[in-house]
Amino acid sequence: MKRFWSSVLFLVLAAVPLLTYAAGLVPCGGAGEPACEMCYVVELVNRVISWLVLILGTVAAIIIVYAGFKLVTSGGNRHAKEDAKSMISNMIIGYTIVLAGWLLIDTGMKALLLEGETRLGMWNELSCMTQPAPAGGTFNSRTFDPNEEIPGNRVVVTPGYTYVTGGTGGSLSGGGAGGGAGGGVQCSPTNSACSVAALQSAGLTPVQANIMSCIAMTESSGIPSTPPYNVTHPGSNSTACGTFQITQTTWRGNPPPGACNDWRSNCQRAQCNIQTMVRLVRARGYRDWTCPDCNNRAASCVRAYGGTM
Amino acid sequence: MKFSLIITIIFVFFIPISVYVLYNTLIKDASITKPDTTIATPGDAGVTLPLANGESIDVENFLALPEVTPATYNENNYFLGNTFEDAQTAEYIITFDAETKYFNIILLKKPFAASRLAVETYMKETLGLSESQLCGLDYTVSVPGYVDEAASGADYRFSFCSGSVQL
Repeated sequence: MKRFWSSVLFLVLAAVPLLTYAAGLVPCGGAGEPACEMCYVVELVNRVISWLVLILGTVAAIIIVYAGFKLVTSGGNRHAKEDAKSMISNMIIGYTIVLAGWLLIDTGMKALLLEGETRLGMWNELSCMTQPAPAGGTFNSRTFDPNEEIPGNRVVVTPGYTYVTGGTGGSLSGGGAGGGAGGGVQCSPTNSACSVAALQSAGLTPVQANIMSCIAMTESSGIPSTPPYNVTHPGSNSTACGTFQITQTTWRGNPPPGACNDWRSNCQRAQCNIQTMVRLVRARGYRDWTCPDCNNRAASCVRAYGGTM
Repeated sequence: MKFSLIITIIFVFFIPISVYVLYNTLIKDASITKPDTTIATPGDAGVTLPLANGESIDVENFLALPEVTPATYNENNYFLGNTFEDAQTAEYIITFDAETKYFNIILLKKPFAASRLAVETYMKETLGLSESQLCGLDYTVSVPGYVDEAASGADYRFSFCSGSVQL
């Protein structure tokens, strides 16, 4: 009996560090963490499973050490020897089943994907991301400001995929592809002139970045080196230039400070075009692209990604 | 008897699984998540292009071709085949980001289906890739708003790839 309680005490002490590790199970609501939403329940379950597997590894090691000790000290007691062997066997079988379960799901999910497709990553790696508002800039009967994130509007996405909306619903698409005609497609994540990430880095909010990445595709297809229109088409009076097709007059009305100040020598530079666009969006919203007779597709981008005009 | 059975299971089942998991987590997945940050230049022997399945393919250095021109204002960007100087006559323009290995293809002439076909032929011949390999590249095929507003804002893809939009 004394030996039993000693073993229990040993196991409890060994498990204390693991119980402490469990403090990080809840992924939200703490200092510096996002507010808790339904999306994080999935992540919580995921973390609990990982934590249990970690604990199981430690418990397995302890049991094997204990059984080994029992085996060595069994002397001539055949019954004790068999007990120890049985303990080791059962532990290994159980641990193998736990690990094989994870592997079977991972292999199965990858086998169901398209040939050669590996962007899914591991099946249990998930992350929460903001879902753009549906068309019309409203969600749950409330109109949102273009700079505002929609509360509770987050979805679980596997790394390598992004959530895009198109009209009435959303769909998953990978690597910047997808989005049929009129689907409000955005610049590729690898296009540093207008990817959503690049525009957020330049100072736009997530909603603004989503909208302007879409507008860049409708304006220039995301090519920063697009010269002023009247240079490639002599006779035209349009000076629209660069990724966001900013005209000379508009640029000079809101000139960025420093090296990007001059339109003529900088409108084709990706970073200068971004800087000027950011100033325009902050000062005037999207009106430079959605003005009457400007670009109907730009207006669709604003609606598709939850902005207001 | 039971103990020896377990030892057999370990060698036959558990060790191969461990090797498979380690391969996937440490080698295969690591190569997928770590992007190739090498910037291709015209002086290189070849160019390595990443594919959508996480693998990559080596092609001849097309940046060294005479018809490939570096973009004046944007470092590591190149024009393949045509530049904006040919905008009034060219069917398409292809830009290549030598850092991210992204091809941005725009169609300039109607009928756009014919322009896309011309781009596909050029890409096949220049890169020496099959249709399935071309589909794995990081690329977009679109129409700028200043060419045709109604056709803009969509990624048409290559006609022979999944997700292709009919033109």
